[in-house]
Amino acid sequence: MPAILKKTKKKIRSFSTPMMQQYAALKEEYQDHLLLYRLGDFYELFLDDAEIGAQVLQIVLTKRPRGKDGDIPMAGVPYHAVDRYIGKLVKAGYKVAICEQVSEANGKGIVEREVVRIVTPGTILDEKTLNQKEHNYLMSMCVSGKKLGIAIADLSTGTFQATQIAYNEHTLSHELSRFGPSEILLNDENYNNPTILGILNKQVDLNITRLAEWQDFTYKAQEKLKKHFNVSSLKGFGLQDDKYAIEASAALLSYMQHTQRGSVEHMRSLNRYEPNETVALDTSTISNLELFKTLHEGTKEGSLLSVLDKTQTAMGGRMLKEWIRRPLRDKKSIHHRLDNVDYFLRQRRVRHTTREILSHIYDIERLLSRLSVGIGNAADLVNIASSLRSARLVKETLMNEHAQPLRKLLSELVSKNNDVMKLIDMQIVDEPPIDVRKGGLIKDGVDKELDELRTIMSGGKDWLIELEKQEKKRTGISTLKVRFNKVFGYYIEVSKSFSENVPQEYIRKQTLVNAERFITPELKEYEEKILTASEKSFTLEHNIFLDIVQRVLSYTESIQKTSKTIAKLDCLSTFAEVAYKNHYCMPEIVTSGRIEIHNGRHPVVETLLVGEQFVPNSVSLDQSKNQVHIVTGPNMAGKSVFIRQTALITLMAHIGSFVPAQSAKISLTDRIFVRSGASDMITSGLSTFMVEMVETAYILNHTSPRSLIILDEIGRGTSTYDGISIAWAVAEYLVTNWKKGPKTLFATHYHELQELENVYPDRIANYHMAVEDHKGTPIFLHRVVPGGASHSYGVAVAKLAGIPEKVIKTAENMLKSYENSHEKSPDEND
Amino acid sequence: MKIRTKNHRMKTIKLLPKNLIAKIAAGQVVERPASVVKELIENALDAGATEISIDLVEAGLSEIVVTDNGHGMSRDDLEACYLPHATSKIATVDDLLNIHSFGFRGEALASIAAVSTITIASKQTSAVGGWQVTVDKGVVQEVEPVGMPDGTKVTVERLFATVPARKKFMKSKNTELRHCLDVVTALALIYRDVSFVVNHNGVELMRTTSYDSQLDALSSLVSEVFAHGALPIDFSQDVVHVSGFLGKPDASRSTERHQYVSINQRPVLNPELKKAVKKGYGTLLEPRSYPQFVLHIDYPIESLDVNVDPRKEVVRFDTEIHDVLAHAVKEALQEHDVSYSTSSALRDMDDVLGERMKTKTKPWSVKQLNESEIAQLHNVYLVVESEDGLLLVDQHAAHERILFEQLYASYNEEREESKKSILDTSVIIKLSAADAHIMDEYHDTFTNLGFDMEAFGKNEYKVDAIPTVFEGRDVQAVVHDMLDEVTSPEEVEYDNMTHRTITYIACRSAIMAGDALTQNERRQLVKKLFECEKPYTCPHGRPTFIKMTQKELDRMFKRR
Repeated sequence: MPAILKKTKKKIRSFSTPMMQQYAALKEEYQDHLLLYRLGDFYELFLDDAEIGAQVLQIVLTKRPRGKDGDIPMAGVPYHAVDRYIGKLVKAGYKVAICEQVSEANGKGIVEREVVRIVTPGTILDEKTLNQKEHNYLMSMCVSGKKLGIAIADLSTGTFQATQIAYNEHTLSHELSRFGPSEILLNDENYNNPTILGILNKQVDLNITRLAEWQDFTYKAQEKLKKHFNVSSLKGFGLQDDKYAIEASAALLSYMQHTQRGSVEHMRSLNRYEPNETVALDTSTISNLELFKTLHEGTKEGSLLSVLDKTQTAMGGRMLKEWIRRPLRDKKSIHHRLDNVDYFLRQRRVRHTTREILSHIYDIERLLSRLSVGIGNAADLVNIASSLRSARLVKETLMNEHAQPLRKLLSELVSKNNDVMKLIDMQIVDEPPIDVRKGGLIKDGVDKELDELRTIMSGGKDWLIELEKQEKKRTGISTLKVRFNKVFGYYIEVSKSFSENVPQEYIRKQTLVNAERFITPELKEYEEKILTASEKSFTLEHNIFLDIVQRVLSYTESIQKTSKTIAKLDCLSTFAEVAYKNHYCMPEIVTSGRIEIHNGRHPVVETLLVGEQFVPNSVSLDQSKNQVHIVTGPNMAGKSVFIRQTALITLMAHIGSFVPAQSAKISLTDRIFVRSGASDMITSGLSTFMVEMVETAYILNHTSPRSLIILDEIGRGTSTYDGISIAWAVAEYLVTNWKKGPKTLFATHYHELQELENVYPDRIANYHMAVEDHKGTPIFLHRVVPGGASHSYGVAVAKLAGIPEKVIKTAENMLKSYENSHEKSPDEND
Repeated sequence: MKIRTKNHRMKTIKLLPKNLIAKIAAGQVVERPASVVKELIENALDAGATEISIDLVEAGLSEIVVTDNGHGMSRDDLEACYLPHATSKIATVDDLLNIHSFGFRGEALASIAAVSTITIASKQTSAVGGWQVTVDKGVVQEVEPVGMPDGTKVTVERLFATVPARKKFMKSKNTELRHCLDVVTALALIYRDVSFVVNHNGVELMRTTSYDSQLDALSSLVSEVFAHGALPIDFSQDVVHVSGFLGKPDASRSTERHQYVSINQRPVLNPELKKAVKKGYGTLLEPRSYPQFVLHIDYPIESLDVNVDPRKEVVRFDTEIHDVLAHAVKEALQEHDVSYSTSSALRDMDDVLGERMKTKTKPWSVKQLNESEIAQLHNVYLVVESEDGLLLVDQHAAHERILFEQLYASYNEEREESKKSILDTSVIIKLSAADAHIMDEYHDTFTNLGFDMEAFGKNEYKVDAIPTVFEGRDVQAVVHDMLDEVTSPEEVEYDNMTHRTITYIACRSAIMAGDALTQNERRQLVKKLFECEKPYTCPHGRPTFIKMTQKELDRMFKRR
């Protein structure tokens, strides 16, 4: 359910201890947030926050007795696991402010603390909370009069886009469903507009942030953007005249900076996008076609995405979703993708090698974002370097194979990356620890001072070896050994048989079955020396690390570009892999207005059948003679599958994928509409019929002759006569309103609609699902054949479903009497 | 050349006349699951299929499903197809001499139906729906309509369930599965424009499609090694045409697998053809190794008898084709300038030497060596006089073998004292976290080899002793080398690991090609070599010595 970001209660008590006074002051500033207050190795929530946290995180709520301040409720989480807990709080709809200690404890007064980061649904960066293969979009919108400005960014990957379009309910909800943001920012005025709030509330999993700082954030918006992107004009982004797009962008950028307490340097460019450049898919179509999740279970399994998503990288996975959401409408671009897919399809070995290398590439975009906002570690750097190396390997592999169609793409894998790799490889050790403050990150030879400190440390170790030798000689104990363990550091071990010979100054630490362990003051002194050098070197290493991060970040654009190219190669080789496994063919993209599919299959259903074979069907639609097909036939015969597969094949062709068919010619399409009369949106509070009519109205108002319309049992939610009449009128409108009409597949139970073929013989044709009557039992052949159906086999289907024999008998008798008495009664099919 | 023609597709299934049945030798067609797979795929190909999928359960013993997108059968054909000697492919005795299709005996489906439960579903391209019939232990059930795509789907269940005697003869599931895959592979190599998919217990084992390039198909069907060096052959002589690919000699294997011959697009197993190819390779091959090849032979249909055995795996030729084949192979290899050794002397001697390399070397013992001087050639080979001729010994390979066996023995016996060399001063080595992890895992192996080390601080080890063979070498380098060795990608088994580790030590420690040896060292080396259990090859598999008998020398010099 959509949620307006939850606010925490505003009730601040006054306190007598300095720490709680500090807390109260910070909390005052972040009233709308849960304040995670760093206290040693824990982050603590106090007071009301503690109660909320304990409940959401399922952690223990304790009370801290504080004299005259009374009991203070508190709940804490350990610092090393904090990301996971933040993720949970944010998922539950809270904003979290993270407060760190910024000065060292010095015994005088309390340490200083500051809020260093704010985490909200749209700004979360924890890898475990984010879905690898999904963008986490943060949107900002600004409606003024008839104009709508939209800015959209993914802080975790560094993408930032904006547009300005005409405002109405549809355009707004369309952009929302196109991106599926997890958080949206808006100003007071828009927030107070019931229509806008209504649209936002319909969006699933959207958190609404009413931005009190909107005015402040958008003050001198142009300048703000120019300064951040370091450009003299927004012309390069195509945005210079779009006031509301600029306002939304500035608000979004400022909000990101505000939450990250920094400059979000990895947001390197702002791209204007045009909604009309892509095939329009509205929310209903996306859910009816089950592009990303199934209608009933809501799972990815069973969706088109699950069939297509064999991507090897996180970036590829995210890009594939974008491609599906935004199919292309430009023939050249589609062909460019298809040609690349074809190359990979025909080069099995190259494809396998490429995909194997891709599988080793990390989520570069998100690693870079983490480093940019200061939460990255040395392993992130190493992973970036190794990913860039893999990217180079991909390029070399494909260049060696003379992969001609990929030339253009490969040229985008830029050479600047070599500098980044060098920078990291030469300075960071191969397998650095997670903690950047505990040393062991920087290679030898990078920094002179560090090397010196290390010499002290290892010099100590040589001394230990020497000590062993000496002591052996001195005591005459041949089994004497200097050893190390985590519990008490360095020690001397002597086997039991020699325990008599142990010198007096040895201090016994532990007795084992066969040996005894000792320390000496001398040994501990050296250990201490080593440890001091360690401390110093840790600080130094951390500083060197921060310096490397800054230098790597100066290559942000180049690395992000590489990452995009890798994502593309991943998607293209994935399409090839899927086409290879599932026997797809290359669609031919035409502009004739015709869709011709020979032996097409449903990409998802065909993979779900077990032991049964999918029966392919052909279809030929155009804008005149074959504009509307009325498809009739009993339930379970495959009508819905057939009409949906036509839409899916059309969609797949537009995203540059091969298609499940023997051959396919697909005309460029501007919109695809898929409606099913059976979808009950109980939660929206509208009746089934009302929903159907709202959606039908939407189609009739938005379709163009270049659209594809799939209607499944429209008019079903009302009485039979009403239903038939409405369906008839809709069909008539579609064939009479334009000289060339939108291609339409119309599945229906109403056999009366077959009459339309006689009324508009040059536009409408009847088809039905073939059924073989085998000794009274209908056998569904799942084939679409010309002509209308004569039977619904409703009673036969009921029998197959296991309805008791007695009920079937009655139904059969009723049916007979109906058929005899009103030969033309519409109710026969209901 | 495509031999399948359009016209036989149009023919419908008829019972053969009695006289024709008599002409066809009776025999058991269905021997194992692979026979069923073969018959069904051949039927699919005869039906003009371009996509064939084979789904096996339990190596085909519980279920075999072959699905094709061929032209399908009509209801009438479906009702007759499982009767004995029903075929659409030939009609008269004359047709038998002119066979273009795989099937012709009219036995396949009938034979399968006799030993299993078979369900056949088929839809003709022109029909809206298909028909399906099940024959359960010879009992025919009702023909029913069914919704299905164009083509035929044959499901064979419980193969041999009613023939316990036959079932008993089945080898392990792995063996049966391998036979099935061999059958598909052989056909897939011939029908490159047809897609083949094999699934076993729901897991995809094999897939080739017409999208694959020649190279990709060869590497997925035969082997990567084969595909990369494969030498094309294209040879015509009179009525015979040979095409396909020959594997490079160094891609040879120790078994006859991956030798594929087809005649007129029909895979055949004639052993004499394989021998002929091997003859064409001549001395390019090491003893007891077999070349890999994929060869397609076109031969006039009328001169070919395919009706030799019921399984149609062996054919008979009118003319002597073997010499032609051997010649074709030899010529192709020469054309590509392939030679086993770069030494021209070796190549010039080829026939005699080749023969000798192939004959099994007899076991040798030291006493058969003469006491004469041992010469060293180019500081690489030793020339040794033996009782009945001479030996050429590769000094590095020989020493490797000797060290290998010594190390192996000591490894097994765990004679710690003899292999360990205690360091004067302990050495501390620093490892990466991953290497440290490996070190922990293989600590025992290292100990057995003669290393004495223990953890010393985080990711650090203190080394107190190393194997004697490494004495004087850089400890850090030795440990790193050893770690690389144990972690190289092919690594899986413990035993194999040990073997490789020892091989590595042997190789690194052995005298090298180029080392000058004293007379005494030479003698010791040869003596120790022949004390080895397996003196013939080094641990990597290269020969350690080559033997020439006096007889052979005499023959070379035309003394006899």
